[in-house]
Amino acid sequence: MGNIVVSPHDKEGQHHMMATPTSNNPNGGSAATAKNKSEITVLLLGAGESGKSTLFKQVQFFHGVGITHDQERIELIEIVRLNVLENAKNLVAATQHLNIPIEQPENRETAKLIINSLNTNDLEDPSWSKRLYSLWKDAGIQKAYENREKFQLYDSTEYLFENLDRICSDKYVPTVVDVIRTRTKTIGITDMKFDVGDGKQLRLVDVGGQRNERRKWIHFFNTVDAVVFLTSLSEFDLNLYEDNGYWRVKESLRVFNEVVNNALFYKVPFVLLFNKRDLFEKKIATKSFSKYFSGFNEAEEKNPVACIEYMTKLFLNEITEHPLDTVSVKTLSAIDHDNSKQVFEEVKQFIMTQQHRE
Amino acid sequence: MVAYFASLASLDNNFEDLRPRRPTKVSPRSSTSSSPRNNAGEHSPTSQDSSDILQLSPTTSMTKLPVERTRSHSNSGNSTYSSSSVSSSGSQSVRRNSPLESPQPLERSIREMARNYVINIEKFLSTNNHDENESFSEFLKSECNLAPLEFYQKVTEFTTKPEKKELARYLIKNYIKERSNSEINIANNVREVILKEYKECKHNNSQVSSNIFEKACNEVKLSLKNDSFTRFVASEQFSKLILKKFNQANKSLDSNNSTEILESIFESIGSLSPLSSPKFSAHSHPQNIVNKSLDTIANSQIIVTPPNE
Repeated sequence: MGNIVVSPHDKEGQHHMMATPTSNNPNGGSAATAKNKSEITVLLLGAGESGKSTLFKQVQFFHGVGITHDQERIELIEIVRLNVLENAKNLVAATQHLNIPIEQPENRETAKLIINSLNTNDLEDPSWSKRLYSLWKDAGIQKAYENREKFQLYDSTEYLFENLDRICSDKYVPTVVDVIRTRTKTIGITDMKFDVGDGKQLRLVDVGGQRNERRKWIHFFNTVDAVVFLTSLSEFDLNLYEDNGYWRVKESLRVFNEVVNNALFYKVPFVLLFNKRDLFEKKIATKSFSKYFSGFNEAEEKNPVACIEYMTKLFLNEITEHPLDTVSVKTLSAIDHDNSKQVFEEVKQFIMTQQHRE
Repeated sequence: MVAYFASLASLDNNFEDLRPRRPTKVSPRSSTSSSPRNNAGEHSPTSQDSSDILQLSPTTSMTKLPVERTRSHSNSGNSTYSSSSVSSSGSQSVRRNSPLESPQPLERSIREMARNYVINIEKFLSTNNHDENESFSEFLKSECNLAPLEFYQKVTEFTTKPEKKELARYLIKNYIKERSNSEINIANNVREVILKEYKECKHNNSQVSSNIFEKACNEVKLSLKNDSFTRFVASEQFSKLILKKFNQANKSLDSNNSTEILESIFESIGSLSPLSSPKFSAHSHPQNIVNKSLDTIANSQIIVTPPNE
């Protein structure tokens, strides 16, 4: 996953975060007394389902927090299974909505149970693995899945159905990947802190992305040292969860415009992350990209680099106030641990370097 | 790079058709509210002897750097136990320069015991659990997210009320309508069904059905449960709540079996998790944890203040 724009600062001070300068404060400086310089607050912003919390979870994992006890994983079992059921329900509902019959009679039976009575505890029974998988492979369900831009469905659907044999078992304990792939809508605002060396702490703030959640963001705008804005590359054929009639790309551009041009962020390093590059590359292989962008050359629509360049222009075109030399653009696949780690390191470097310039 | 950006930004690409109208600027909140950074009383890993961190090699520090989850608006005060999972790994923990600031053993055993229970949000938030509701709502305030709990509580009230129209109107105006003051995060179609049904009731002057908010409420409950509540149960507020209940029970029950008291508190709001059964980990059974930590308490200088001594 290469950067589109390599910041000139990216390669400098590669190990700076791990450097060991002595702190001026004998106590190491507490957040309360030296907060201005010792704490760097980074906001993760972006519209709904752009991957903010996925990146947040990844960062937790690199730093050894998040899932550290099996107990915490046990509590996630229900969430994973709930994701399975919601995906199944949404697909079944979509077959009705789109008038696509589920072909096999036994799958129709399964579909009925899913809609009416199945709950997460039932999935302990391994027989559900076969039944749900058979439903997933039903030609009707697959056809609905191919038309998933017409309804709301999580990105993890395929992954979950392909892992049913593990999930539908009384021995199931979620893996780290399962946790990363699980969709939980974030509500409100949460944060975590970790040391980045140099006597500094990085405070990463995660937020909910839907319209109602965005009104909560401004509570944090006063104290920000950097903004990481995420947008999903694969949303070009999708409409909003909170507004079925509204194109996600348009919403992302609008939110980006509001955030990047906000006067409070003029002096703040700003990173634009084009997330879900993996999904995007898969999607453009089968779906038309140019259909959604009249200004895009159709001949180039199977070329991910050209598409991403186009999206980059689209977003950068929104910037009217923010100084461009403090903006960095990268692509990301947040579900990929290594890629997240690498990109987040680069983001940290960029932010720290920008801080030093001040 | 500057030139590259400049050239991109100046490109005229005829995006006008899809470019949104210029949005109104998000205005900064007035400075009267307290800064979220104001974490007075909170102990950050930087406050420790920094040599621990600084001597780590780059590779180990990637996994071992102290991390803590913090609350945005810290509840300042003298409670100092950090919920950081890292603190359990030993040396890298909060600063301890006075006995008053040390993590309290009981609070720690509460935390460990909490891991053996799955807390049930419905039980926890049942209407007569005043302290529980209060504590969770305090937590949600720190996450700028009180609205869903308020909505959940008010819908519970709504379903039992004989006269529903007024409350329905209030709930719709404040929580359901787009851009309402306390708008909740629900799917488009869930909102539309409610608005449509309410409009019909108004039009026909008929009674509002008691399940009009059911779907919305379930969605809100699910978000609270899967997102906010999981953080809450790991938070300092939660430990404080259990501590408070422990002290109350200790006073009123006249029992001197701390383990039993804690177990009954946890059983009233949740159930033992399958993982805590002996076949998984005998030493982490709540009984053992509490016995162990009560020993620690007995041998420790810092004893939880017994009420009214």
